[in-house]
Amino acid sequence: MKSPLRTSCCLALVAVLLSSCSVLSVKPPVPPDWTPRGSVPVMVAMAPGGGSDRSARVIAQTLNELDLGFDANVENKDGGSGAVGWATFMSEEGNGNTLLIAETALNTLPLVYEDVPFTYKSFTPLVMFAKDSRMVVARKDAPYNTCPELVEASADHRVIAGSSGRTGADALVTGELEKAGGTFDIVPYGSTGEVLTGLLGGQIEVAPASAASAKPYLESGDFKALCTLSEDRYEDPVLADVPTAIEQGMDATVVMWRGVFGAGDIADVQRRYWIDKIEEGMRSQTYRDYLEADMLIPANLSGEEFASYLDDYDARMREVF
Amino acid sequence: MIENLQIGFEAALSAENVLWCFVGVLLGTIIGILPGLGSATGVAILIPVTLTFSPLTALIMLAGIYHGAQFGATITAILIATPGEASSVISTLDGYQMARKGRAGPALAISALGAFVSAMVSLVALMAVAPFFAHLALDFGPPEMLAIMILGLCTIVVFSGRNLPLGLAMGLIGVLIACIGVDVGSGTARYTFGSVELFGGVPFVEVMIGLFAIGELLNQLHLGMAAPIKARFRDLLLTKQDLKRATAPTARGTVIGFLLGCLPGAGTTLASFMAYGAEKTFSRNRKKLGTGAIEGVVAPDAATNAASNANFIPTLALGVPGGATTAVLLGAFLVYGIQPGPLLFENQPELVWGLLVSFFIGNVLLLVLNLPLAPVFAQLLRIRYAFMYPLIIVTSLLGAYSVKNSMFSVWVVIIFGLVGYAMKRLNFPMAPLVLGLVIGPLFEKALVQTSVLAGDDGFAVLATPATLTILVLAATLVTSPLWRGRLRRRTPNAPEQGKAKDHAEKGSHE
Repeated sequence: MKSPLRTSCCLALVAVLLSSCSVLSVKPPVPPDWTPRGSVPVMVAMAPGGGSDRSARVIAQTLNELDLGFDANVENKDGGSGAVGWATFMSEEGNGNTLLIAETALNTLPLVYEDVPFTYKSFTPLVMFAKDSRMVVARKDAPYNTCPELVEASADHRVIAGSSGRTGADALVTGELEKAGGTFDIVPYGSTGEVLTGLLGGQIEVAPASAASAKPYLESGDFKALCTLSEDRYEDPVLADVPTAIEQGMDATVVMWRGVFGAGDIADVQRRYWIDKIEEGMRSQTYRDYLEADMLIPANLSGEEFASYLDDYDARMREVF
Repeated sequence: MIENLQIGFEAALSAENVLWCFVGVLLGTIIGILPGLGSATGVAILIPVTLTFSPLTALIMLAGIYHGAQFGATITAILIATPGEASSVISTLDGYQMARKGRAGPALAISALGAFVSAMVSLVALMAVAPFFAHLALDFGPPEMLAIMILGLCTIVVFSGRNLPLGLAMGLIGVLIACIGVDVGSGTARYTFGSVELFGGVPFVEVMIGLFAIGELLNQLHLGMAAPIKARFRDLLLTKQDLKRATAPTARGTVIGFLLGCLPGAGTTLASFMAYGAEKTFSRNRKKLGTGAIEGVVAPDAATNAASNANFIPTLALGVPGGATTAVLLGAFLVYGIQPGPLLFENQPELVWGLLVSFFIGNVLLLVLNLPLAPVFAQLLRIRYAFMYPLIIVTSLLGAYSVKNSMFSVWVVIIFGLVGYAMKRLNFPMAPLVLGLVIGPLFEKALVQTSVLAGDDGFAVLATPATLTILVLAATLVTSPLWRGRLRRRTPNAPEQGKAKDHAEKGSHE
């Protein structure tokens, strides 16, 4: 009784461990009529439920709607503000059968945590499909109404702000406000949802927020918007009244990108295939609905254009971080 | 209220909605049974499938998955000590012991029943007080959360059993393990030793699968207790006494779960631990807890279900998610162009009340599904261990792999499997370690936030009525071994039944 039991358990363990060792593989050349096959993992380095996850699911869906003979499946590999997922994606080098959905933090995270093994250059830029910005919101009874007034007020008395992370968009917003002369005590939160809860509860006075997440509270009158850090005003009926920081006389903008990458070092035919199909997917109603619902700024930069945009963006981020 | 219910029933009781609700709870149960695949991931995967549905139908099905997963996760926790979700970890403590004693059937049945009752009660509460509680929960800022986490850490005393220093040491080790990874405040990478995998910290679900499933299995191999459990049919059914014993723990679990569930971010896992801690302190049978007591099964399950319902309060009324799964559900709302938040109850009464009423239907379906199946599931334990154990190993490791599709998770399971085995051999208490691991990061976050808020005032921010009450409760808990012993000596001939709880309550007013 005892010994067959032990043997079978050992066998099971050995089998699982063995299967984990990767078999040495020789890379065959990519044929000129290459198309993706079977299941295409669409990796996103953030947890289910957030903005990145949502964008990945939209892109995967637009690809699946084209019915190209493969299935795009979103895989969440979250942890360390994205570091875990991006480091994992490095091991896909040369694999054209997988995609990565990333955003601004891919630029900023390697600047903040210097010991991560990747930079934005580790992957192949395919298409940048949206841009986003941030607004600055405060409780309705706050003693300031514009961003310059907020900066001024912070010189007089202690202003407590919230932020959802050191590498994300919120850090860029507080960075801009501090560059304009503001000083804040910044309470760190885990997500924008938590930051807005803190603002609702009155634990913090002011917070950065995306247009889509701030809108319902602006409508209900709980918050007021001080300024938006976008280049132009939002077109939404509720948000059109909110002036940009530039209009208010502050030279402050925050732009974030969202884009699709391939693994590092993929073949040119693969790169061209994906750019072509992702752009085709972006002509769908699904994609347009997504931009509208999330109040994102449309963008469409592909291949080399996207790559040089990232270079410029990285140079600007190096000044902030 | 009555009018709202009417709107809700009209919307939720259409044949289509009931059908999808059933599909949702069934899928959820399966997702819950599979270790690693949690309800958050399950809901995220199925959102695209529901895109062709009407928003209400889609949300009803997704919420069904959420509820079903809680039920399913308990099944494997009880049968093979493999928690399917983080919140069912605590069910392994007594549930698995009950199963080993041949009482898997009653354990499964009482857990389903307790979960059902608590779901019903918490749903009524949810409907009655949602907007009110949502605003009350807002007042719970970082200082209040810090107090709650301190209370949570104090329950280590209760979980430690006889050897308090050992329990504290295990709790501390749990907190230390939780320190690995990028910290919330400054964003520094701690104890990662250059490993990017560790940036995200040591993953909780994988640790649980290792400690409980693999650790227990290795221990059983060592002991050579390879005889299958022979459950007689009459042992498979609940007795009247079981039901009687389960009543008070269900009530306590429901209240604790509901209150913690209202707080955004506190989560269902914490609720299940706190409920178990409460049983260890207040239950008549507290001495039997850990050896297969029904109280230890039903209280955490009741708390988990109450918390997962209460999670919808901040989610619907404020638009801020109460936990991981409600965060994903919140995403689903947005996909359908519905903005949860302060205006949802006014703008979309049919959707909100339809959804809430569907929770009732979902829970009834789950009970109908689970109660008759409990003895059937329990029969699984009759399988010879030569077949059973390899199956458990493979499902555990596959489950771990499926969390993030990474081998790292598998290694974590194997390493913590060995740790769990060593702890079992050395008779080290497991619960304080897990508690430290759960509360560590939450405690740290609240501490960092509170210290920023406090600024130069020191910890004066802690002097609010809510925090003080919680801290006093924590102090009572820490000193409970002292005063409880004294009380018992004072009344040596007190009858066992009925009095012990009164004493405990009197004691807490001291």
